[in-house]
Amino acid sequence: MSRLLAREWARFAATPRLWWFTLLLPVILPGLLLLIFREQVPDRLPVAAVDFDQSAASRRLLRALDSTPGMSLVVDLPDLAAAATRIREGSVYAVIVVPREFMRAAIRGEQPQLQLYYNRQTLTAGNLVLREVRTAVTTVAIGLGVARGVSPGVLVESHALFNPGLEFGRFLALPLAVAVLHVLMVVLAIDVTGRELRNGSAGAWFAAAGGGFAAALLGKLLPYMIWFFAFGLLVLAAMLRLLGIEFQGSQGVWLLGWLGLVLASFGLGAFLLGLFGNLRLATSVASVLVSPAFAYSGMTFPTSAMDGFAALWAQALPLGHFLHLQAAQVLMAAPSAAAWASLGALFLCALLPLLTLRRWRRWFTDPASWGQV
Amino acid sequence: MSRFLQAARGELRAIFTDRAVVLVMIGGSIFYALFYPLPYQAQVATGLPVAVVDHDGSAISRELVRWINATEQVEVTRNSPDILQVQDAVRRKALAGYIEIPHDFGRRVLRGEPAHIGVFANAAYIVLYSQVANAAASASLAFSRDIVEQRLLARDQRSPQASAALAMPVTVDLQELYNPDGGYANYVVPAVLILILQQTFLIGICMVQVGRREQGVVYFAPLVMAAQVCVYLALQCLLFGFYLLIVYELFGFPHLGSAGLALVAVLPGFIAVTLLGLLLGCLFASRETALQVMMLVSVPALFLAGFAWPAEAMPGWLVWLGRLLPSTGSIDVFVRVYQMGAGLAEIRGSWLGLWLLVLGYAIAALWVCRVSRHTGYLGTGYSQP
Repeated sequence: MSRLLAREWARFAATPRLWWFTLLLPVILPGLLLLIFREQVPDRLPVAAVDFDQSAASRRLLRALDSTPGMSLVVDLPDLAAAATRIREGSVYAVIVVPREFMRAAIRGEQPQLQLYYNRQTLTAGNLVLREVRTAVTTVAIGLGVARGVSPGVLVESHALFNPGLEFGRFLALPLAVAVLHVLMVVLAIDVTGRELRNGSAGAWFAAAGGGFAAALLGKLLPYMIWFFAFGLLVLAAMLRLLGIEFQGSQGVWLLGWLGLVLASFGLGAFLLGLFGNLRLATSVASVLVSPAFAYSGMTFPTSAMDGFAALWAQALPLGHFLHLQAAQVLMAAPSAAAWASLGALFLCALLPLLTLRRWRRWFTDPASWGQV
Repeated sequence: MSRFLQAARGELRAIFTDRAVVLVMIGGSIFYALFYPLPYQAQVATGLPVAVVDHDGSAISRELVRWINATEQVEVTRNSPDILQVQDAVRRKALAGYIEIPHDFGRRVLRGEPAHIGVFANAAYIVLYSQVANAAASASLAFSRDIVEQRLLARDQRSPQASAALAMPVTVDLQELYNPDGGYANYVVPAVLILILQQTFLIGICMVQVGRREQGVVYFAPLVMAAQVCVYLALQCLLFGFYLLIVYELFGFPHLGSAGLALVAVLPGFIAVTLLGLLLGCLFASRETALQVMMLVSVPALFLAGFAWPAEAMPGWLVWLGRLLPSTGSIDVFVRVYQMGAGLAEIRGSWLGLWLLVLGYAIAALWVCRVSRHTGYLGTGYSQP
């Protein structure tokens, strides 16, 4: 075993690519995501106003809207055509239209109606503006009603559980960082094993292990797994710290989950290489499995709304299992028992290479299978 | 001219005789385009399970619950006074949220005083929170108006019109643009399609170039590069047509713009992708490197594009860095032209930016490929056969 480790160290030290995969990229990629989502809540989203009324009341209303934190009225436009152009130019996310006779209608009690045109193609920004405008207008309306002695019927207080500031940025940055680390681990597992086959050095690798296919495979991947478990933990802990997320649930369960994801990622990589025995083919198939994994994870669009194949596939991939476990433990203070199913799925995935041991025997011992590009 | 045609034919042969390139560049572009939209096919999450914690239990509170249950977004699956049990179910994600009605709710409504309710939704998941909060807010608002209107009609003997106006002195008429009902697939997929095409072509182009170099073929001249650009441009246009005609039709994605104008919009992006691929092909040492690198940059590239997460919320220098990727500009012009029906004048800034990228990458590719015909940059070491 020590011969195998020494051999791996020599290979590692001589290969800049592996330095990138293990030292630089695990910091650069999550760091980039951290920077993208630094703001956490998009605020002051640009919105245009078309004020056909030009009255004291319409100006007061628009000022009230401008002072809400989520949006900023950046421009006054004369008509709807100009407003439509601004939206299509991408310079504003919405347009608020105050109708002619707005003030007079309000005074006469004729229920004037504002119009909000909002861009739902950019869903996140559009929905944020919608929420701000609705809240602000409802507040104004209630105020006007109260001034005339009409008290509102039901008032709703919304509470954002587990994320009181509705800071979606930080709740995207963390899972996305895990997603890129997952891709990195699968790519690395395939790379370090696959290159040996490609370059015809699998025999030397096997000889250095001193017997046993499983030992050779494990001995090769173990240092990387230990490294990614420890270094990844450091990166994620730093991210939690920088994002200002306080741990709500069990750190032990989360740690166990991370261990599960590390093992599952390397397991998946070793399984794919075992199956295909070819670096490029295994990497291509891995790309099909792990690149869309975040889309299937249900962290953005809920798994419960997926159906048919997508719902099954979402369960089959390891990434989602860890991400839900993480959300449950880090943010939601979920009971530990809720994590068992996810942990089970992750550790099961880690055992995948066992299915390919017979094929690994061939990759280790049959020189004819080497050198495929 | 014959040399140009010869080079183009050579490039096509290099592509289509290489199984791996065909698999990733052609197969991948088609497969991912059909595979990516699947999780979002439902477009909106409906019938999310919520609980009602009704401390009041009056006829009025039950009526409110009926109004909330009538919304499309949520379904009241549990009605329990045990708040701890409900909170536990939310933590285990058995419920998306709950609505708490205080014990004096009905009495306050009858007395004509404002009555409060609390809506609690799981904000660790953005879609769960917004669906539950929106459903509860709009149902309660409508219920509230109804109560106040009836109160004014019955007790104060007001006219129906005056009652309605007093119950809600100002209203907002919401006009959603471009994406009916805020569909999730309509929002994500158009942008992702452009990114898919970029990533698969960068991989494929790199593979062809690196493969050629591994075989010791020195293959470089401005005319050859022009031929290569034409070949990859034509292939990207074909696949783009497949996306617009087949994928859009298959999944029923709405769009306002015309395919022809969309093609004009993304054309500089496609050229920039090709030149970037040729450039990276000179830099990468082994055929797998492109595949590995593209897998790793996909996620950051998607979010750098500034459609899923507004660019206004990113640091300015990062937005500029993101524009170095052809996908950022291409996604922007494609979404605005094809989804939102923008004209060329309205995308001028991003479109000219893409042409600038073309110029920049053309110069870089010509320069780098001339200088480093043999040596690779990334991943030296034992990757060379």
